[in-house]
Amino acid sequence: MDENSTQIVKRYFKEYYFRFGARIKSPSEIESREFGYLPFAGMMVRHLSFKDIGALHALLLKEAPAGVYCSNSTYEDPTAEMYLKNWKKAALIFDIDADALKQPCKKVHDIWLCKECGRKEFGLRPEFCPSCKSNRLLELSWACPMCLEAAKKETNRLIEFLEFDFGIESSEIKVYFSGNAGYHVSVEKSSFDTLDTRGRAEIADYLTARGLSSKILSSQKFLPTDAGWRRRIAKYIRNLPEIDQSFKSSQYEDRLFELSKFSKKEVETFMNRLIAENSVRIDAMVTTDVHRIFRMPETLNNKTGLVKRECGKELANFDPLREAIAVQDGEQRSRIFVDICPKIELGGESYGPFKSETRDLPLYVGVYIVSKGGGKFLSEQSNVASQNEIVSNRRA
Amino acid sequence: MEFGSDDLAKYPFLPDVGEFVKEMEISVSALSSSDYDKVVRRAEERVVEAIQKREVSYPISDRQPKTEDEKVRLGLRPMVGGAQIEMLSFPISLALVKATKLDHLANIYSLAEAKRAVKLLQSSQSSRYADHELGTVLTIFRRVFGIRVETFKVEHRDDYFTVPVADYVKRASKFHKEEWKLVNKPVTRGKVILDRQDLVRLVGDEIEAMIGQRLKLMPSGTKLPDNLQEIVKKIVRMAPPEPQSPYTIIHIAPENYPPCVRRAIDLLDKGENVPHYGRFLMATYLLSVGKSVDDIVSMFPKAPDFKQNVTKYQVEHLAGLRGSKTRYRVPSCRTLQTHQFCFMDPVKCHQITSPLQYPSRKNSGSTQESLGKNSRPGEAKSNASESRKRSKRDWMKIQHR
Ligand code: SF4
Ligand SMILES: [Zn+2]
Ligand SMILES: [Zn+2]
Repeated sequence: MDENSTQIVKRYFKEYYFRFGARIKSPSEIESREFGYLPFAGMMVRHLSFKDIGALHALLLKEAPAGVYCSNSTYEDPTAEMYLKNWKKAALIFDIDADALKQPCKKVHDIWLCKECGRKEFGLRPEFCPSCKSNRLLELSWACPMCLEAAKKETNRLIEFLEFDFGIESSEIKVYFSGNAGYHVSVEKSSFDTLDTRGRAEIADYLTARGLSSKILSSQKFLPTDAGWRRRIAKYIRNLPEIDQSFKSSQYEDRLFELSKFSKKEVETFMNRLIAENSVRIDAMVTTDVHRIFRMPETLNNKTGLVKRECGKELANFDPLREAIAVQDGEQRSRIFVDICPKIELGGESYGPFKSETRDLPLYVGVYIVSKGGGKFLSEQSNVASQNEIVSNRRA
Repeated sequence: MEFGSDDLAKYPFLPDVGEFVKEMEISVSALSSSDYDKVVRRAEERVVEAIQKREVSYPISDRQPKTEDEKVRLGLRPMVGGAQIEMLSFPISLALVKATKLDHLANIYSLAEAKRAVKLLQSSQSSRYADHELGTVLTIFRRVFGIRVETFKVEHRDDYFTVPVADYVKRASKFHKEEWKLVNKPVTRGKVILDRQDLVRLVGDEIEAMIGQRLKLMPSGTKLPDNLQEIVKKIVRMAPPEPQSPYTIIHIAPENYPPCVRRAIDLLDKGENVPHYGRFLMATYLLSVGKSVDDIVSMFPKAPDFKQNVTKYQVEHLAGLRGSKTRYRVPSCRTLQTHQFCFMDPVKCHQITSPLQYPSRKNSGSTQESLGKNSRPGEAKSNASESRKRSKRDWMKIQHR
C-alpha cells in the first residue's frame, strides 16, 4: 500500500477506535493471555500482556494498529518466549474460510495479478501469465454474499456437530464474522480446554472425516441407536432423493442391503460423496495449533477495514456486509483509483466492477477496496469540517 | 464404594493396598519369618513370571474356571493362596525388582503386572459384569483415572459404557489403529460409546505407567532380609540382558526433518534461545539419523558465552559416550507436546508418535495405514523399543480376543 493510502486507512482505523473502541471487551483471565498487534508499518509485535482492558484501549487509541490479536490459550507467563510460557488451557477454535469452499462464483469475482508484468484479470489464476509466461501470479480472492452464505451454512453444520456429537452447550459456542471472508467459532469453556495438539487433531479429524474408515459401512447393521458418523450415514442414506446415483432402490432398508453388496469401487465412490456432503470444511491447522493469537472481536480486519464481530444468536439473520461496517458515514467520501475490483456489495449498495478507473466512493467502500489491494486513494474527499464536527460532538 | 479384599488382590496397585499393608503393620524384617513364606514365594513368582512370560498370572481364590477352555482363555492357575497372599506379594515384588537396580527389568515388570490387571478388568465369567464387578470397575475408573464412566444400555447386548469425549481423546490419540480414531467411534452428546474390552484398553498404558512410577519413587538401598537378597540375586541372573541400541542409520535430508527439529535448528540459526527440550530433541534426533557429535556441535552458534567443550560434552553424553553410557532416546511427540515443542504438520505428523516416524521424502507417499505401522527408517531399533512394540501388539491381542 502506498504511503498516502496507508495514512488514510490508518486515520479511518483511528476514528473507529476513538468512537467505538470501548466495545472491545476484556477476554476472561486477561492477565494470562498473550496479545499482539500488527502496526501499519513494521512487524507483528507479540508476547504482550495487559493487566486490564483499559491498557489495551489506550494502546489502540495511540497506535491505531492494522490488527489486534489475543491468544485463545492462557499461560502462566504470557510474555515469555513461546516454549517457556507454560501453557494452561485454550478455547477450542474453528476457522471456516469462504475461499476454501470453492464456490462457483469465485471465477467471477476472483482476480489474479502477474508480479512480473503487472497484468491483472478477473477469473481464476492461470498457471502462467498469458502475457509474459511468468508463474509468479498472485491471487486476490473476494468473498461475495454467496460465498459468505456458503460459509454460514458450513458454520451451521459445525455447530450441529459441536452440540449433537460433542455435547457442547450452545451458550458456550460463540460465532464471529472474521471481518473478511469467513467465520470463527470458539468454544469458550468446555472439557476440551486442556486437550493438547494431538487431541485437538482428533476433534478436527472427526469434523473433516479424515481417517473415516470404509469399514464403518460394512461392519454391522445400521441401528437406530447408532451414534457418531454411523448415525450421520444412516440419516444421509435415508434422506437421499428417491432417485439417486448410488442406489437402485428408493427404500431405506433395501438401500442398506445394496450397501452391504457394494464393490470396492462403489464403496470408494460412496465414501467420497458421503464425506464431501457431510463433513465440515474447517482449517484444521487453526484448531490444532494452540499457540496462535486471533484477531479480537470488535477490532478491525486490515484486509478489509471491516469489523470482526460476534454474530449473535441468530446466525441466519446476520448480514456481515451490512453489520460489520466500521464507520458507515455517507458524508465521508473518498476518491480512489481502482486498479481492479469485482462487483461488491457493502452496506446494502453494490459497486463495480471497476478496472483502471478513478471513482468517488464512500470512505468505507474505499477503505475496503484499497485494503483488499484493488486500488489506491487519491484523496480523502470528506468534508473535513463536518468530520471534525462529528468527532467533537462525540467527545462532548 | 470401598474395595473388598478380593478387589485389592486383583488390583494390588490401588492406593488402598498401601493402607491395608500399613494397618497390618508388617515390617521388612518380619518378611524373613516363615509366616510369610507363601507371600514371599508368590512375590518371587510374580517377578519370574514377568521375566519368563512377560505377564503375571492371577490365581483366583473364590472361583474356579468351569471348563478347560476357559482356563486357557483366562490364563488361570490353580489357587496359590488367599487374597491376602496375592495382595501382599505385590509390594514385595516391587521391592525385589527395585533391589535389582535394573531399569529394564522395572519396565518388564510394570508391563507384565499391567497386563494382568487389564485382563482382570476385562474378563468376567459372563458377557456382562456381575453387579459387584461393575461397581469395582466404575470406581477404579473414577478414583484412579479420574474418568466418569457410565454404563450404556443397549438391550439384549453385552456391556457398553460411555466415556466423555475429552477423556477418550486424551488417551486414544496415542493409539494407531484406525478403529481408535474418534471419527470411527460412536460419539453422541459428548460421550464415546465403548465396549468392555476397549474401555479397559484405554487405561492399560496408565496402569503400566502407574506401576513404573511407583517403582521409580521407591527409595533405593533399603536393606532387605537375607532370604529376599538371595531371591534378588536369582532374579538378576534370570533377567534378560540390558538392551543395546543398534541404531539403523539412514541419511535424511535436513528439509525432511520433522517440523519440531527444523524449528530447533531454525532458532539456533537465528541466534534465538532454544529451550532445553528443543536442544535435547535436536541432538538425539540428529544422532539417530547418523550425524556425528562434531557435526552436531558445529550447529550450535559461537555465541560470546558459548563454550564449545560444554556442548561437546553434553552431546557426547546424549550419545552414550560418557557417564551413564546409555544412549538417550529421541523424546516422543507426546513429551514434546507437553513441553510445547511440537509444531505438528497436520498431514505428515498424522498418527506418528515419535519424530523418528516423520516421513522422509522417500516414503512420504505412503498411506496413513503404513504410517501407523510402527517402524520408520532411522528409528532406534533397540531391544527395548522392540519389546515395547511387541507389548503393544499383545495389548491388541488381548482386546481382540
Ligand atoms: S508431531 Fe511429533 S514430529 Fe511432528 S512436530 Fe510434533 S513432535 Fe515433531
Ligand atoms: Zn505477466
Ligand atoms: Zn462468491
